[in-house]
Amino acid sequence: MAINKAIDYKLKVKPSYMRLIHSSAYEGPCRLGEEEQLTTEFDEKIGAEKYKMFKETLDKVYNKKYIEFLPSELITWTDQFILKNEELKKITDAVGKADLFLFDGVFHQFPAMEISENFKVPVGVIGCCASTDAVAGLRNIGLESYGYIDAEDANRQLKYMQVKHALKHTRALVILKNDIVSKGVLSTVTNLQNVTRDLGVKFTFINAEDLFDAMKAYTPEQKQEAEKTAKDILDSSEKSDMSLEDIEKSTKFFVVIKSLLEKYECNAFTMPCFEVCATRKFNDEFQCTPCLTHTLLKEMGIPSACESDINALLAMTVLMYLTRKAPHMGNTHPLANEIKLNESSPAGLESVPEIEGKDNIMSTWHAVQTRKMHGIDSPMDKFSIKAFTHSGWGATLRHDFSKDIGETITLVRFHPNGKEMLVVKGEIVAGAGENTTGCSTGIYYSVKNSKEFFKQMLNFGHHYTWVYGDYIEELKDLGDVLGLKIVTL
Amino acid sequence: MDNKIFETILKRKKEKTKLVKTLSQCSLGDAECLINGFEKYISNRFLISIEDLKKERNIIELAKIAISKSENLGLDNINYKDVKDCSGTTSSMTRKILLIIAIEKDFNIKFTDKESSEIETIEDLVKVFSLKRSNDVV
Repeated sequence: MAINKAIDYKLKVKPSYMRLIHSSAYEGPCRLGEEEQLTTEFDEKIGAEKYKMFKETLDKVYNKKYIEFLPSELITWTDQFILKNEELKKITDAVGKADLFLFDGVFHQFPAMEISENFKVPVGVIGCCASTDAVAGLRNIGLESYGYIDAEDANRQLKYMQVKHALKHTRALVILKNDIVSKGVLSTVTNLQNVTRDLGVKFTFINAEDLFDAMKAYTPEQKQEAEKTAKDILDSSEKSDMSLEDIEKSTKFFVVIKSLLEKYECNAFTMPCFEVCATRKFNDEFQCTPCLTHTLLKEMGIPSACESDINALLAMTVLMYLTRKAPHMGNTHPLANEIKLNESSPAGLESVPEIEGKDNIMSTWHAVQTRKMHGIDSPMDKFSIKAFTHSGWGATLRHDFSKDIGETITLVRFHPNGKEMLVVKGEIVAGAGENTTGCSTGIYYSVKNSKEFFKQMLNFGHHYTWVYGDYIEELKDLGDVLGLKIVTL
Repeated sequence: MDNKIFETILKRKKEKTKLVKTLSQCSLGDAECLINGFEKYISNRFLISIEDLKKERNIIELAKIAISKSENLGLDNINYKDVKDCSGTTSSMTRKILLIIAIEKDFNIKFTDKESSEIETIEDLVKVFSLKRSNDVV
């Protein structure tokens, strides 16, 4: 059994091309031309010609990595302006199979309207002027519909639909200890029923004791996998302060969590570090921290957030599905250099010379960076292995972020109400903490206005998920599709 | 109508009648005869040179050349003139379909919509045309 990764979900699209056949050759306010091009025969042939081009466009323009087209249909209607059942049936057969019905052609707002009104399925309409006409009409009566300028625009926007449906196929495994709200993350999303209703993300909770039992039930096969994973990590690292045996204690936890994800048919993960830490199981028995597991799951395309932060987990899920990059997440705080207080020195992340005297500097840090931050399908970034604890256990992977100075990044966090996302663009000005213990590895970066960012953080919270690149505009568009309010600086 | 234009149209019509006759006399297996004949037929209809037809075999592209010549435009600017109407039909598509319909009428054959859409090049035209004619013979 394997984990069914939602990031790989393919959007099922039913494409249809609508042609209009006039019953005879006539000119008037709706059509004009030479007699030969007003004939029924011309309409039939030009319809077939354009349908062929439509199919070629489906092949050439659309990204099949995330779109799966169901068989396309040529729908015909006449100047009686009635869509006959026989024609409509060509597309209604796909109800229940397609995530979106895509229309192009002539007067194609009408089949879109018919199928949307009758079956309440999402429709996408391409081109002038059916897209704006249909979507404005359908949205006015509360029906889900999308308009696209042309095929290129449709291809771009179908990625957002893929993210929307990938979210619907996401089920997070949450380890429960004491309270649903971890004590370090009061700003988490607490109304999970709303999250499931609005975004489709589902949650499965298991008690921490079930996790401890699973660790005890470690099988020879799991041990073999943990050994191999540990060896692969050690062999590909640039440096390590840990032995293979110590790293294997952390990969054991990763393998057990993977088996729990499989068992509960989940494909996202979070757990309350503080509360589970307080059981002393990590210290006395497992000799690991969850950090490496978060890192390795994210590298596989499985969202995995620290500290039972559902809010960060949702932000990570959205960002990961949109970008196919394995994000970092961490505590975030401004340096407040503008105010020049003694307390302006960084908390949690070592100070570095590059930030001295600079304004609008933010910091984000946690020991959960990944080697796939430039893309899950890209080559691995360079990294080292560092123990989380002073006692020398708890493998974490560390990246020297100072090598990424000047790179643009995008940070995201959900609002505790689950209905808004704060998205912020920054530029890395320094890396720090590669050789320190604990959570303290991360970045300093400049933003447009750190005071404004902090004001928004007071509404959104402290853990931010980030990836390389500028995704602000994409996230704004995605927000429209997901029904989320997007807040920017 | 201007006499000169009228004479040109008449001349083209006469040439076309001759071409239809010549093409009808090509044996079904004689691809060279059919290709040469249809090159002249298209040249006559689109008002483009045989040299143009030697360089470009795609009928839509040939229609674009025809439009560029009739509008005295360079080919680089053709997309400004090959405009879509309200139904998304370009001028070059229209010319291609009108060509197909003309062939149907001139040779008393009928292409299905699918066959018509699959004719992209002069060679495709000859292939589908030969198939139609051979079916008629059978």
